[in-house]
Amino acid sequence: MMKGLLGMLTVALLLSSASHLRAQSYPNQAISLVIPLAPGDAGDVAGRAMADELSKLLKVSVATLNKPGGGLTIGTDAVVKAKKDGYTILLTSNTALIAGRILNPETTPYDSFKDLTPLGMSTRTPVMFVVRSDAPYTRFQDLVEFAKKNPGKIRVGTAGVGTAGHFALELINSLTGAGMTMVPFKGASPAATALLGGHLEAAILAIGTLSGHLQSGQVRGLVVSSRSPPYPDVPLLTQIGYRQNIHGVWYAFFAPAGVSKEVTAALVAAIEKAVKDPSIVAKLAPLGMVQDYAPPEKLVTEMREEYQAVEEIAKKAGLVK
Amino acid sequence: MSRDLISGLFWLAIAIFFSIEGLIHLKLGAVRQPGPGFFPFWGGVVLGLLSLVLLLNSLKNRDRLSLSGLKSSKFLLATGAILAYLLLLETLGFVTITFLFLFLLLRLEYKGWVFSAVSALGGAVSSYALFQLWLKTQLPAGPFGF
Amino acid sequence: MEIFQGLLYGFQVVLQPINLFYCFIGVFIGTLVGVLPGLGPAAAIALLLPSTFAASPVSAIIMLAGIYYGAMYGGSTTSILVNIPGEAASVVTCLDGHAMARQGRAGPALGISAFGSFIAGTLSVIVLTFLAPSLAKVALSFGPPEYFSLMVLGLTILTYFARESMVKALMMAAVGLLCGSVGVDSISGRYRFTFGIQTLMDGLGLVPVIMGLFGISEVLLNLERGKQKQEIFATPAKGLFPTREDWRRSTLPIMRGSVLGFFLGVLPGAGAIIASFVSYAVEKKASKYPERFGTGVIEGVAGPEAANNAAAGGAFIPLLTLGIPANAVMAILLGALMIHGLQPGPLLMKQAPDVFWGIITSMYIGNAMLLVLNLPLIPMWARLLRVPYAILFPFILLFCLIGSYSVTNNVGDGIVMWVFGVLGYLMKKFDYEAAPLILAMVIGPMMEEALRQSLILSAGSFTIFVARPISAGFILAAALLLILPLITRRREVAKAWTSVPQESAE
Repeated sequence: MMKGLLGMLTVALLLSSASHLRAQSYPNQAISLVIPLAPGDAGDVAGRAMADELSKLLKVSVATLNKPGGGLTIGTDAVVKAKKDGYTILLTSNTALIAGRILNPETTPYDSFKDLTPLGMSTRTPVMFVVRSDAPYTRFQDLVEFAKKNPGKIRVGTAGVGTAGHFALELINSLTGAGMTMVPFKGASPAATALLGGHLEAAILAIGTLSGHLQSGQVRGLVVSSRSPPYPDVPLLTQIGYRQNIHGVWYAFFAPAGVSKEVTAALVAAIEKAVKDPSIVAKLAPLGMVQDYAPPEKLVTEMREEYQAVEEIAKKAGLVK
Repeated sequence: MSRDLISGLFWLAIAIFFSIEGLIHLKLGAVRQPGPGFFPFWGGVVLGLLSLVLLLNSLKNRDRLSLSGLKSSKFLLATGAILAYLLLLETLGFVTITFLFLFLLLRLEYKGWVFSAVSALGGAVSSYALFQLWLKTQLPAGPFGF
Repeated sequence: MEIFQGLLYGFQVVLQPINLFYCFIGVFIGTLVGVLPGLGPAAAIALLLPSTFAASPVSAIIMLAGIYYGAMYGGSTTSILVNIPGEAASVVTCLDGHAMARQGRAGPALGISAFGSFIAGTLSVIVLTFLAPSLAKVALSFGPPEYFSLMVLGLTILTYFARESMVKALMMAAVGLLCGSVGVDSISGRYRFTFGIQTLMDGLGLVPVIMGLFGISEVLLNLERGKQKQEIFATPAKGLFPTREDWRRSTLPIMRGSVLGFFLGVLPGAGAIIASFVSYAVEKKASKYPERFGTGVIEGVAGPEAANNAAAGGAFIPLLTLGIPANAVMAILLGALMIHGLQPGPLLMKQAPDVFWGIITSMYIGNAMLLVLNLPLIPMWARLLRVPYAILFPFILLFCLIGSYSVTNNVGDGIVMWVFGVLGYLMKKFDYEAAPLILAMVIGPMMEEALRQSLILSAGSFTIFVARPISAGFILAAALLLILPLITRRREVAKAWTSVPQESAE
């Protein structure tokens, strides 16, 4: 009976070595777009919409493949280790590339700058600091004042340790000296629920989860990471006199490092068009997502700046040694 | 050795590992502010104490342990086939590995060659149709595109 | 009056042929997904979500909701027939359901779970229709301290899952707690017991662990038993539907299971799996013959099956009225609503009454469809038992493999299933129960998170657990449950602790 197993192994080896049918110009076969999130997640919806558009532009099928887990690092790592032929590309977020690298270098086995070829920034989900609408403070400054006078009285829910909201709160605390208490939850929904139920005074979360509660008027935004069209009145930190803004969540396209120039050029051009497609912009808006294209060079610059800023926050807050 | 003695020792080892890991590597924290090691430590302690109770009881009753099943070729083949399936799934692709897997296991229970081959092929193709085409699961494709 | 107008409006929406069609497709896929071990409703809904983009929002949501409650019907089938739960909320159904099948009573077991599911499903939609807004407030009043106390109460029912040795059952609960601690610690962000393995970063997946402990191990054991197994099943099924006596014994469990399941379903996080465990414990406690539970008692099937269906109904309340998802499936439905341009929450009833009332009324129709769909299948399932195990088992293993892989498309989860499969086999050999492990693995992480969140909220003061009335109530109930039996039946308890486990009858 061991023969059966040996047979299986032999066949496996034969098949995997016979698979390479090299070809002419890129792209000439299906591209797989790895999304390190579960199907139905906001980032996954964005990725699928853009994959459909990319299929039309590149004239080959662009199929999405979900590899969720490990704070987006599992799927990201899968692409880092994929073949460098341009047929495996990635849509991932700063959670995997910046927070993951800084907080958990031992479980994030790639260098976000060296191991990936940037192809362009696609989507932003602003992070917003919200309170219940029955709260007495209408301006961010009022809340900061109250928090300073009553240390520990403002308890702020986040979607977990190392999320954009967590870093944002640490930055707010260090800029304002408000000393608010962070209460981590497993994901954004439980945190929003606890805020609505009156178990917290505030929450700082990506807008997607909040948009229903914002529109029904149950919660009110006090400060936001970047302009969000449906909520023009919510200010940025720099607009109310602070020197730094909090960082939101963003998604960007990547290929493994070492992909050839022509492949990169083809992908970058198609991605720019897909990101700017008006029907996709309209589709993602209700989910709190803003299509905001940036070319690879600008993406890398922003990544470096954010990496430095977040590393500094993490060190100050004692999150890394 | 009785079954309770062997398994009690096994769980005791697990308990000691988790408690020590919780105590030293992760932090216990304070009672008012439990750390990441708090639950694993106390979970390990409880498991350890219960294992000791079981070990003490096991000294009183001695039943004979029969683990002949572990040595049986069927057990080894079935567990080996599952593991091989997982390790080769992404290299060979779903349909190919599923055919080989079903064929091997059907043969294992001494069904005929023809019956096994036909059912394995039918099973592989219809499960591909059901899961991939209809339920839209994302099963890995092999070198032939399926 | 408003409600009746709403219902009427909802039925007008649902009775359109296209929506009836989507409803049927939904419950049909749901049944299928429930029957197939491994692939659960959350995965199926997520995977099928993109294919609903073309449909109207009402049709899409009706179909996706149908998959969810349909899966609760189908989940019991494999639990009863082959002792492998079709999805997580059917773990408990294995205990007595499969024992009934071994006595040739697979038909009545399947029948009572179909009827029980229908009754509970319908009752829960009726309550949902009339009480949704007020129940939503109850859900919001549950903060971390309330959850902690509820989980403490939940842990006390563990003792009801000891069939032979109390020590071993409690040991398995401790192992479950330890298994639950693997992965990222949500409060500190530290990784625990991951050994640098990426698959373990999010913890041990519940689906791979259940498939391993119940599915793989069961197959391995049956392979070893060889021919005997098939002879047991060769005995003709005695009647395909529940008898009058079965009905008499099942009525109260179904009612109790419905109420319990519904309220636990409303609470975000608690859900169908905990509801089914609690219902089983309640039935065992209420029974005049608790010692016979686990040997094929119909109450042990009727209660939990009603509970998981009622929980599926209850889970819609926070989503529809507050825009809060109570579980992973509801989170995907929330995403689906938003993709279709709808905002779940208090405004949904006003902004999209067709969707709000359409979903609710579709659940009346869908439950009826499921009953009609499932009853004729019972003789077919019973006949499936005559298929020789030699042909059946490779396919069972295959479904487990596909199920564990397709949750995250990660081979690592399959390896977790394999490890727990071998562990489960050894546990059966050494007379350890897997059910307490699963319960503790579900409850443990929620309890830990809630405890530590509560202490952050209260700045380290334990009074938070007794100062809040709901939390205090649960703590008191838990204390009574633990202490009372110790006083009234001290001798029996003492006996249970030292009892010598018999050589397994299986």
